[in-house]
Amino acid sequence: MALLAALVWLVAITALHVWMSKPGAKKRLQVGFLPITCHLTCAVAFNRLSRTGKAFDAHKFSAWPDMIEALKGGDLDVAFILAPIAIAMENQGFPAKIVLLAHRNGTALVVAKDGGIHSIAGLKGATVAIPIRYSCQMLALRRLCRQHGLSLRDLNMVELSPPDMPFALASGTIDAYIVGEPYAAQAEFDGTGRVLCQMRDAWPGFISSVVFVTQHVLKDRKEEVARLIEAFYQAGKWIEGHRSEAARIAAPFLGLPEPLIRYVLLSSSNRVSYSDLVPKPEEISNLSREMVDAGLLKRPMDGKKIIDLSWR
Amino acid sequence: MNKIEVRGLSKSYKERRKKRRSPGDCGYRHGCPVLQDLDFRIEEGSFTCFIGPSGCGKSTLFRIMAGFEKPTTGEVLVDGVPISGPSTRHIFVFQEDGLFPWMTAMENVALGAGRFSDPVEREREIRDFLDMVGLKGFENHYPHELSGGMRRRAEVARALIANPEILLMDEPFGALDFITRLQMREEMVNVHQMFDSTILFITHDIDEALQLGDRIIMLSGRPSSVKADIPLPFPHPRDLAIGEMASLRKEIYFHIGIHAAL
Amino acid sequence: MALKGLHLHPLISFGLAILAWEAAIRCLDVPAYRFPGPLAVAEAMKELALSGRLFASITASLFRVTWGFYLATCAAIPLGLVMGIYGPARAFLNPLVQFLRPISPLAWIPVALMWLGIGDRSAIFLIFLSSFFPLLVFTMSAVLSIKVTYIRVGLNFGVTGLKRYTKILLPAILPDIITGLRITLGTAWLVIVAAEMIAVKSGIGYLIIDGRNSMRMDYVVAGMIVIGIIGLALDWTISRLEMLPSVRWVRKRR
Repeated sequence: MALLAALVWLVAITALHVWMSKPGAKKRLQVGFLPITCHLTCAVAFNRLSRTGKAFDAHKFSAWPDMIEALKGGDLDVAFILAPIAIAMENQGFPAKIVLLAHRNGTALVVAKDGGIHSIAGLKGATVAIPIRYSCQMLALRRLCRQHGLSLRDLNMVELSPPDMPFALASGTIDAYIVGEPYAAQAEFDGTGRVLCQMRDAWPGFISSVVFVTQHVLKDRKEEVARLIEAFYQAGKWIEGHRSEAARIAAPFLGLPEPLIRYVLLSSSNRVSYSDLVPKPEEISNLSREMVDAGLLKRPMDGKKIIDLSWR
Repeated sequence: MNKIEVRGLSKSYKERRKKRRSPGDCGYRHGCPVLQDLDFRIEEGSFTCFIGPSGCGKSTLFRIMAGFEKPTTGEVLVDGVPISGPSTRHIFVFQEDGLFPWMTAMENVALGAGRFSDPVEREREIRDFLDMVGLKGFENHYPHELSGGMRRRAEVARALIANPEILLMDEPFGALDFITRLQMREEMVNVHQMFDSTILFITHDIDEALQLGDRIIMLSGRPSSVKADIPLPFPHPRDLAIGEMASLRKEIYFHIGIHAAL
Repeated sequence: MALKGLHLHPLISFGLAILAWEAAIRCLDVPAYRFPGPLAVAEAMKELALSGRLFASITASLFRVTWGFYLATCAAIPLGLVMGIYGPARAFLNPLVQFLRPISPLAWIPVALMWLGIGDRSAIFLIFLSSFFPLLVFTMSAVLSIKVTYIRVGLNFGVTGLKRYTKILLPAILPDIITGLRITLGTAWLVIVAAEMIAVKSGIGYLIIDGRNSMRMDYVVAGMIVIGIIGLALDWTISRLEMLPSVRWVRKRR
């Protein structure tokens, strides 16, 4: 009796699950992204391609390590991923290339609103959260410290998942954090944080994420991938002219509140920037040198070798 | 006619402890002697009670006679043939609950009814035996739904239905309340009269031994040997308070060091 | 009266807990983005239910738990029996099992993703791991702790061959195994949230993680409540097994 019930349950729940998660059209390109405004082009391109019926499968991740594992496991063809992670993976022999930048700027150093920190130098001894070691945010923090006569050893650096950062700041667990939008704007929005430094000022043309495409789709599905990358590129251009509309489109896709995205996109014209997204080899080379200095990489890499612009 | 012959039986257990607990304790290498050089014969169809101090090795002796354990030296012969292992020819009734708790009374008794090949006959026999021990109407009850006395009766029924040549009972009524024990005693007397089985019965209760047995074998403390062998050629029912029974009772109490029989 | 009390007490305690929750939110003036009150959560629950997302999440989670748990059961019980019965197998495998057992299923997440990719298979694998080792150990120790009397009775009545297993061994360990199943199912349900934080796009764990990422604390709390309710339901369902007539003896004995 019990066994029979157990079997019936197995069949029922399996059928129900299969029925509820109807698979989409097979063999579409698998794209991974995180719910950050840096990946806005993914949202906009998805929206536009869906209308023409030529969409891709978008996988939302909540943390970088999960996305790295998925990429390594062959579940993703295209990933919106932090540039240092892409460089490090390429360096380890992972067969993928950087084809596009996700956006520029869009990262800020945030401190507690009523805290006593009013300058970079004031960070001495403070607990500062970064998203992950292999991030441009970490490199940026390092550069900021250097510019103000500090070293990373002077602060207590912790890794924290971006969505947790505003709460951690509000609760006083951390004194500051450096992160991609909208998690910097979130603290401003909640009235708990204050932006100490925008990357557009500290590091002009700052790169956060890149579009990282695996070699096998670059080779085997050349045209399809080229169309997709072109779509991301065009989405960037379109966003620049339609920021308000872009916020409306992206909010449900990213799962972020629309007012927050609007704030990030509209508060100033270049808090985030979606133009000039074609990566320059020297930018990537420079980034790799910064990584070497930070101990994330053994020797610098040639940007030309990591970038693939065959889609243009 | 001798049914069982125990010859020079000794049993020692390997001591697991490396150190001696006390000087008098048995050593590691020599093993711990439990039974030492036991010799006795049991007559066919008799009812023999074994008494002796706690932990003296009565249960070990029974386990060897049932074939669950091997003696260190010596042997046990049944009908002149050494025991080689457990068999339905000599059924053991355990000190604690030996009924399978996941089987109904009927299914438990059916375990002993393997000798009936015809299913109809088997079921009739099972019902008869349950009826005989007063469990009519409780056939489909699980052991936990029966009282302690009923459980013992079911176990006796399970043993008897196998028609064993030897019935080994290791303190079967030890856990029962006083009244139920007296009832069970009475029933055992009937069983002895109705069945041909040779019955071996361990008890701590001297009165029980006196009332049931044809003979009492008294074992000494560890390592165990036969301390006294007392025949009880008295008819049933027995009254322990008068006559020869009363003086014998006093004598046994005296033997075990209690000077005023209670 | 006893029956009435049985149903009334949980209602009262839950009611009080909800009242305390609401009171705490109001008195401390906690903003909704920090922690939502019961009303906001009920609203979120309604929203999720009406959009069909709640049902789809529950189905996905139960699907994964069912498969992981069933596979673990099918693998662990036979292997546990072999290890319990056959000494050399135990000597050989037990150290390995004891070594692997304390490794949290969550530590396997990177490996699972690498081998099995994103999706159901990884989640099922993690549930499997969380259930397999405890069940294996439960089964093995159940076999090892069978009362020696039962084995002797079996030998005495000439129960041999396959019957030794079907009539004695299995029924004797069944209650222990059912207890093991009950505890293990609880663990499996605990692990599902973590397992679904890997990139799967469905399930209650995902609902919670997605709620966090999109700063919908009301979804997070609604998800937590659903997890609690389903956990209770699962435990109640499996506890019915302990009521089987051939198993009930253990409860009586205790």
